[in-house]
Amino acid sequence: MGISIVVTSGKGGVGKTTTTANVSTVLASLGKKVCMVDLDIGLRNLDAVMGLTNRVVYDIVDVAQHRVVVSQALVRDPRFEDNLYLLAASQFADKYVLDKDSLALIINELKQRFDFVMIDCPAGIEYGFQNAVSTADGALVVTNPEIASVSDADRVVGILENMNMPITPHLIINRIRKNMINEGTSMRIDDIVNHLGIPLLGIVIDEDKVISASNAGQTVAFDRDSSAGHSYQNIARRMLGESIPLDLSTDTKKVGFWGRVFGKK
Amino acid sequence: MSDIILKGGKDGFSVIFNENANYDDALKDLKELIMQQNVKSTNENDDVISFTIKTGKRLFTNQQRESIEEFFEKYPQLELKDIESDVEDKKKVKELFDANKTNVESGIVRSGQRLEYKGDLIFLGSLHRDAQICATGSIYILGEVSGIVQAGFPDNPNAAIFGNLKDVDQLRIADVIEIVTDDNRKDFQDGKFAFINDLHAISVDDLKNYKDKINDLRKRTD
Repeated sequence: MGISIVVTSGKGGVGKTTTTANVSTVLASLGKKVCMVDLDIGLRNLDAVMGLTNRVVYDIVDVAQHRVVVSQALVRDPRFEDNLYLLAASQFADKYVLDKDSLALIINELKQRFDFVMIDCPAGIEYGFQNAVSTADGALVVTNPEIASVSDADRVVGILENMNMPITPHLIINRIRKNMINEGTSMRIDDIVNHLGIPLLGIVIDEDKVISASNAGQTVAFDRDSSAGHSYQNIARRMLGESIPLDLSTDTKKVGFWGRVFGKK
Repeated sequence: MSDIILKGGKDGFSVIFNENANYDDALKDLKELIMQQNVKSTNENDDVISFTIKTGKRLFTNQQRESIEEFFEKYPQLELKDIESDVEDKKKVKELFDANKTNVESGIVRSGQRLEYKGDLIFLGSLHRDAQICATGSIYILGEVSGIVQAGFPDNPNAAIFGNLKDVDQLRIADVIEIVTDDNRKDFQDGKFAFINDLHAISVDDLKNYKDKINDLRKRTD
C-alpha cells in the first residue's frame, strides 16, 4: 500500500505542477512506482509539462462517473518503463462533478497499485483544494520567497494542521533568486522556515532551464548541469528517507564584464 | 411558625424566606405580613420602605420572582430592592469562572485563524500576519506577534494588552481599534501596555506605570 501526497501552495504560479512533475519523475527513476494525479479540473497542465498531452484519452472525471475504470484512464510515461503514470484532469467538466467520496475511492485504488500517488492541487483554498487535501496522507507545501506566497502558505499550513494528516506537511521553497538573496533584497530562507514552522524538504533555485524543459515536455531533474534539477533529485531522495544535507549556500559565480562578453555559456 | 422572617438591619429591611418552606405558603405569609402593617395603597406618605428578599439556599424560578415583583408593585410605599440567594446556578457559576480564568497558549496561530478565549490570555506562541487572538479579558504577550490582538472582546473596556507590541498589526480593546504603523511603531516597543483611556481611545504606557495609570483612570471614571 502506497501513500498519497498532495502538492499544494494556496497561491497560484509558485510551481506546484513543476514540482509534482519533477519529484514524480525522480521517484520513478529511483525505481518507485509513481502515479501523478492532476486535480486542477478545467485548467489541466500537468500532462503538458510532462509532454503527455497527446496520449490522454480519458480523464479523472470519466473515472469518477464510471465511464471507464482507473486502469483505462492511466497514461503511462514511456520514458520511465512501467514506473510512472498520469491520471489527467478534465478540461471540460465542471469542477463540482468530482466530490470527496468518489475522489477518495480513486486515490485509494491507486494507493493499492503505486508506491506514491502525487496529487497536483489547484490553487486557492476552495472546493478543489478541499477535495485534493482530504484524500492525502501527506503534503508538500510549495512557496516562493515573497510575502504573498509565504502568507498563503501559512494559511494552507494552518488548514492542513487542523486535518491531522498521518505525515506532517513539508516545505519546498521554490524559485529562489540567488542574486536577490546575495543583495539582501529577498526574504531569507531560514526566516521563511522559522515563520512557517514546518520541516524544510528542499530549496530550488529559479532557473530558465526549468521553464525551457517544461516547454519541451521534459523535466529539468535529469539535466546534470541544472542546479534546480539537482535540487529536485535531492528532494525526492529525502522523501525516500536519505539524509542529504541542505545546501543553503547561494553563492552565484559573479559574472564580470569580460565573463559576460566572452563566457557566454 | 411562620415561613418567613422579617428582619431589620442597617441596610434596611429584609424578608427571609425559609428555604424548607413551600413557596406558595411563604408568599401567602408575606402578603399577610404586609397587610398586618396596614400599609395604604396610596402614596400619601413620602417615606418609601425598601425590602430585600433573601431566599437562602434555594433559587427562585423566574415565575416566582415575577409574582413577588407584581405583589410589591401594588404598594407604592414599598420597594423591592433585590432578591438575593446564597446559591448560584451552575451555568452562571461556570460563566463567572470562565470570565476569571487565565488561559495559556503556546502554539502557532496562522494566517486566517482566529482563536477565542474566555478570561485572560498569556500568549507564549507566535501569532502570524492575518491571524487573530481574542480574549474576553486582558492579554499578556510573551511570544512573537504580528496580526491582530483583541482584548476585552466584545465589550470590556477595562481589559488591557501587555508586552512588546511593536510588531502587532492591530490592537483592539472592546470596540476601539489602534493600528500600528511605521510612524507610531516605536511607541509600542519593549515592555508596554495598551489600555482604553478616559477619552475612550487606546493609549500606551510603560509597564512600570500600570498601577498608577489604572488607579488614576478608575478614580476619574467611577
